[in-house]
Amino acid sequence: MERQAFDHLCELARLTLAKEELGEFERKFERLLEFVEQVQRYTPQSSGPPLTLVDKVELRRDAPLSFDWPEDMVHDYRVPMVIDFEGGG
Amino acid sequence: MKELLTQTAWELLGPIESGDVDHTELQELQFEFAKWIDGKLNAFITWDEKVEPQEWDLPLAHEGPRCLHRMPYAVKDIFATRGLQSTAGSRILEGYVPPYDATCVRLLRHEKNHLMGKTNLDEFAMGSSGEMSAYGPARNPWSLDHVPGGSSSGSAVAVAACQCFVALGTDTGGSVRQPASFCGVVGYRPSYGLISRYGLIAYASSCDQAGIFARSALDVALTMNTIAKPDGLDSTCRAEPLDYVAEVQREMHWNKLRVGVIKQFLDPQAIEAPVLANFRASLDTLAGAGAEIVELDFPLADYCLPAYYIIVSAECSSNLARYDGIRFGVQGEEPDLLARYLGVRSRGFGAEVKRRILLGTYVLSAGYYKAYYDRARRVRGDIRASLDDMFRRVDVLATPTSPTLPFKFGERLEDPVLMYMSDLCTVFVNLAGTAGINIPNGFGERDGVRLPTGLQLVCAPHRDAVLLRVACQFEQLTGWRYTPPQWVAEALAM
Repeated sequence: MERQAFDHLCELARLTLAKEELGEFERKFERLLEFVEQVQRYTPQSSGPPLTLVDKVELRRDAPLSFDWPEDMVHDYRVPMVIDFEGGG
Repeated sequence: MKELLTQTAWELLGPIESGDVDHTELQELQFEFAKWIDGKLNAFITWDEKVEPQEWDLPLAHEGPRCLHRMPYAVKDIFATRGLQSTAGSRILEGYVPPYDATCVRLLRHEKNHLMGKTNLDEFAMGSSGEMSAYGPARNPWSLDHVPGGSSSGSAVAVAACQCFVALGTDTGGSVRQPASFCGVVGYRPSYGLISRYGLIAYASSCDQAGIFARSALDVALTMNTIAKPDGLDSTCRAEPLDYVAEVQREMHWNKLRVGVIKQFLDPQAIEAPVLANFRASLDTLAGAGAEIVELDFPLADYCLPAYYIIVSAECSSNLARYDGIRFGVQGEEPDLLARYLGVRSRGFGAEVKRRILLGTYVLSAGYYKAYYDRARRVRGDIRASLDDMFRRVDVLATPTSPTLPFKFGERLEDPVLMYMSDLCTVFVNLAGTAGINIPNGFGERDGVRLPTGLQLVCAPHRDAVLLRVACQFEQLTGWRYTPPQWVAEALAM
């Protein structure tokens, strides 16, 4: 893989690699790509498991429901507002 | 009293219920020994120091199937535990304390079991040797120079080295069965959906499944009675009430059992000689008891590992996108948002995690999606169909659990593909969403050291009760009984 393409991949994955780890990283990554390319040698018969079941799901109407909390399940915490994290609240 | 720590949970259940063994004393003794011996093993990342409330001493009103209760246990540090650090073996989650318990932890707590602590693992469960932990590797109690397997390395070590009676792990591609084989204990991965994944830090959601380490198949059944329950908090959970203990104790008719053997997993080029010899001896035992051995062809065996690594890498690149230095664990200092993402993720993730995120990003990218991810998904469909076909002809499949004996630290780090080959015999189970169990079946010699091997049994999806019954009866056939490594037994006697 060319360096430019590799850099673009890192950007998409929100990762940066230090210069000293780059060489070893590229070498091992190339090895992985060669390995997974083996799937190209086989022609699958199936269409694979479905990626989504949305067409089979009947959605109920939005309505408040009571939820049967297990007695010992914790439900007494609140997630702080994001604004609190930033010291603005 | 220390000799109690070498027993099985089943053996201690009666004395604990009758009060002959004080569960608080047992827990204190277990905690003290586990902490002391961990200086050599590094099986734990975090200890649970809290004292249980006094009402735990009140007798339990028990109805229904027998459950694991009042037993010291441990969980892989990938399960959320309320008030206790949960790192997933990664620096990026260092200091992260969840405000809730994973469902299976909650269920174990409900039965007043004592949590010893959180066990070591390969970072985000990505690894086959335990060497990818950001907290240093756990060590195999049978030889401290050899790896314990992974990714649930610490849980396997903890059960093998008398640090707890039962431990939970997760099995995405063999991460319970393979370390169980390397450490000489029972390791069980249930069918997909049988144990709730709520509170389990996600790696590859379509393959992730909580699993159990124990010292006998009966202890596995006892734990299943405790945690395999329906859960409205996990839409993929398909557990139905079943008494696994009663199921494994039902009479076994060996002459009605058909055991399938996949010929591709008998290749001496791929499977080390001592592993193969012990596997053939196990088949002889099964055949001697009356089981019919059926040889099966699985041409897709060569494609399981590449398809598996494409699928799990794709899922991990998506699941791990949430670690942004804002919501969980380590917080970044950078004032710019994108710089913060990049900084925290690059410092927080280890090399193997980065590799898989990059591979996942690559196989999902617009130009390569069809050639990699979509094709791997379709290969997975064919693997499932092939297994369905096999299970029309046999009741269970038998394979070696790991193609090799435990190897030395550093031996496979330079070549990621060689490391991935450790999962050769296990990943097809995860791709098919079915169940598998490792049962210790002997020892072999490597580097002048005696190291454990394991037999893997696999069943059709949701036929777990049959699988556990066969495993339990196989233990009885061979007379196998858990014994700790000699130095651990000597440490207990001190």
